[in-house]
Amino acid sequence: MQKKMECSLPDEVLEHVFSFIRSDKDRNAASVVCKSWYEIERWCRRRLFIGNCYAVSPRMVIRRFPEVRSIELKGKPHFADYNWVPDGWGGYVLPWIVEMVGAYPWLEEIRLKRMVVTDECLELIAKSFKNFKVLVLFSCEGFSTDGLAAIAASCKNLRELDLQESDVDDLGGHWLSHFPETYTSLVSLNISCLGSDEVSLSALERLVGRCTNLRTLRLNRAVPLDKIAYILRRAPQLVDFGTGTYSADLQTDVFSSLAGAFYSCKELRSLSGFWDVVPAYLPAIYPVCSRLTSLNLSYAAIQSPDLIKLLRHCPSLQRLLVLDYIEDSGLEALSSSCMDLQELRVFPSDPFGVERNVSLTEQGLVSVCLACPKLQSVLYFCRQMSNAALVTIAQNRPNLTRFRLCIMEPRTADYLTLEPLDVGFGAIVEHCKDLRRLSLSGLLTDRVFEYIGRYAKKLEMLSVAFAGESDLGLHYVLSGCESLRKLEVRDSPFGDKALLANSAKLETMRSLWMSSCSVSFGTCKLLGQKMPRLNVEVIDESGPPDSRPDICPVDKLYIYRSVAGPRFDMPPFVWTMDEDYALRDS
Amino acid sequence: MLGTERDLNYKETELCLGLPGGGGAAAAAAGGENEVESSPKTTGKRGYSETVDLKLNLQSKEAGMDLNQNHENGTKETACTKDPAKPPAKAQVLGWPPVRSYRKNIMANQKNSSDECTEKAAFVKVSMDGAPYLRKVDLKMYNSYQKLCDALAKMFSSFTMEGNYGSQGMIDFMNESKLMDLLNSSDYVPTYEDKDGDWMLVGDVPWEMFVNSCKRLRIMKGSEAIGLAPRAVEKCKSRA
Repeated sequence: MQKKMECSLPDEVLEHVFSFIRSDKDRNAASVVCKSWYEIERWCRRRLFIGNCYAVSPRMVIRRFPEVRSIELKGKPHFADYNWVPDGWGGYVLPWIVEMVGAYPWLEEIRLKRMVVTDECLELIAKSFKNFKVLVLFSCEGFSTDGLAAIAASCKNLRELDLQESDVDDLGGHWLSHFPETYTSLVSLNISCLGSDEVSLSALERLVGRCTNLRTLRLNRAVPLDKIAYILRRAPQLVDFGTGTYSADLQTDVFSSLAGAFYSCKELRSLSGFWDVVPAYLPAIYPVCSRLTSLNLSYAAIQSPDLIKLLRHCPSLQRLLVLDYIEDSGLEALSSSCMDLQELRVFPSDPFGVERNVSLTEQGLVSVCLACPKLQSVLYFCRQMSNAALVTIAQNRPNLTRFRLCIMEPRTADYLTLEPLDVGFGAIVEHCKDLRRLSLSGLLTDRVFEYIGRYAKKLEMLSVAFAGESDLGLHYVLSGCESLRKLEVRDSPFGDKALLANSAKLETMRSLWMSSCSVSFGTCKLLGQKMPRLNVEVIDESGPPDSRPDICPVDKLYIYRSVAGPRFDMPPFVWTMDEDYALRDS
Repeated sequence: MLGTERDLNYKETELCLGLPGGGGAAAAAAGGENEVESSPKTTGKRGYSETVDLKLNLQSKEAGMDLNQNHENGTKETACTKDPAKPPAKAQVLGWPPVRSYRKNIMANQKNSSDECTEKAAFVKVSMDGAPYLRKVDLKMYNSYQKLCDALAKMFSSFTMEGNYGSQGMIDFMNESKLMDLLNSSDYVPTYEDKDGDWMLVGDVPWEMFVNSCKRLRIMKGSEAIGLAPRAVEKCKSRA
């Protein structure tokens, strides 16, 4: 006889229990236990993360979760960061804002990544959400400082305004004056991306002075070096500071004022900025270096000897972003000074130059990996690599979770043996069992993908360029990588067979991007017809794909799972393959 | 140890295109970061007439890969496709290495950046009257007005642009009536905002000067651009 299990706990108790469940995965699991748990959970979910804004529609979200306070949305594919996705592709947040204005009047936090945000959106946010607290626009575009002025003027409870790496139409610095004199609740302000030469310094200084809870302040280039001391003295409680221009004529009084100001910032743990850096002013930060855990010098043209001197003062460093001016010698010094290092990113100073301009090789990376036991995350641009180095790295740093290597010339072989780098990357995935993110480069055959499919069971994101020999490569990855969520591929001979054979896998992933590969238009149509829960988008700026034979490969392909069906905001150079494709006008 | 294993140990694998089995277990409407891992697996063949059977014979590496395909539609490369496996010439690979455009712009604008930096991008926004979206172009990618206009025509393929850029590569602005003819006969003309904040007709100055002074581009209707013509002619004459 079947016993009917009924939940005997009152709703309020369950809701209270659920309030301790923070992760989406756990909440989703709780919501499928039974109908009443589903109902209770959906009414008390306060925070949403939507990794692809087109995977679901605003209405569906609102219908299921009526009481949301915080939302995070991502729009364009990752390759848009490198300008590989044509402008106008999509990622508009306005439809979301419009729906949320009606449904979530108490919305407090909006975090967006790679989305198009207009001044109209910002004005809507400013006037509609009375308790609005957090606005993070990471790598967004489409708005101007007029929209920011609206936010400043109306959001009395704003805590965080972060415009990291967004493309903002900076019409001058007067928007800062729109923060009322009574406004004091700012905790975090990141305006480092604003490109105008004008900024209202007095408004900035007054704002900083009255917001005594300010913890993060990242300035833009318009703020000159000689103003930093004044600002720092008004905000000695800062934890995270980004300088503006770090350049001035050498004057001892400016220097000592600056050093004194840094000295007074006992809580400072993170520094960034340093545009147009004059190295003679670097020692002004020495007073805070011993406590620094994060240092972003990746826009600062500082040569290796000055870097070495600086790094010797930073024993607590956990995160370093730097240009390849650091060279192998600087990385050697880093490896002996900074035992706590967890994340290293080395960016190219001359990415498009043909000749090597700095003495940075695989050796620098190897020395850091050998010496820093906590190193987990690596992003490294260089011009040569060897399997031996990669194997050494893999064997000594099995705790790596993110490994992104960019050898700047496509298809570069192991410079010692002239072989492909399959074995090296294979060692990485074999030894680093918790690897979640991997970017490949260099000369690679299908074999590296065999290794990845076999070993990289926790891999969530894979980036591939100029690699592989045949569909087998793609097949290995799609059939072997159980945790794969995002795959992005360019200029690799992957095509129809692997995609069709693994089409079901695509529904378990967030998205797949393939550009300059060998996927035919016919396959795209077939996938679109057969997989109703996938949006198969063909991007081709040279004209409608059906003006060419079905066997011709498409230029760019973006496939993502969605319960919202095809989108309707596509520009003329994007076509969705679905059952109606053939019937619609091209 | 990795590298010594040669035998892939796969038998002949038959893979089919079929719809994923089971009802919709993907219940997480929010598509959260850690969804319920209950995605259904492919279960055998489906009775669709267009089901494609693929047989991949996976042999050992030593013997080389041998893929037997059994397709309804062949997917062989033909002359209409570009061969993606051909290694591109150095420095001609578009958009490689992957450097964020944000970073490119910042490094390009630094006062004491390395002079060896061969690519300083000059991104400007391009809008077209009537088009709902903006594009961006890097003026450094082109070396003449004609190339720029060809690229713009491709981007906004619904407009036709006539421009007689003459032997010097510039529109003859000194001849006002010729200019008026041009504007009257074109659907759209490209215009740009220069460093002074003035809106000018594209083609009034030598190419390099244009690249240095252009802040943004706007493709406007020829009839509207006529309003700019007198100013363009004036400015041109005052420079002469």
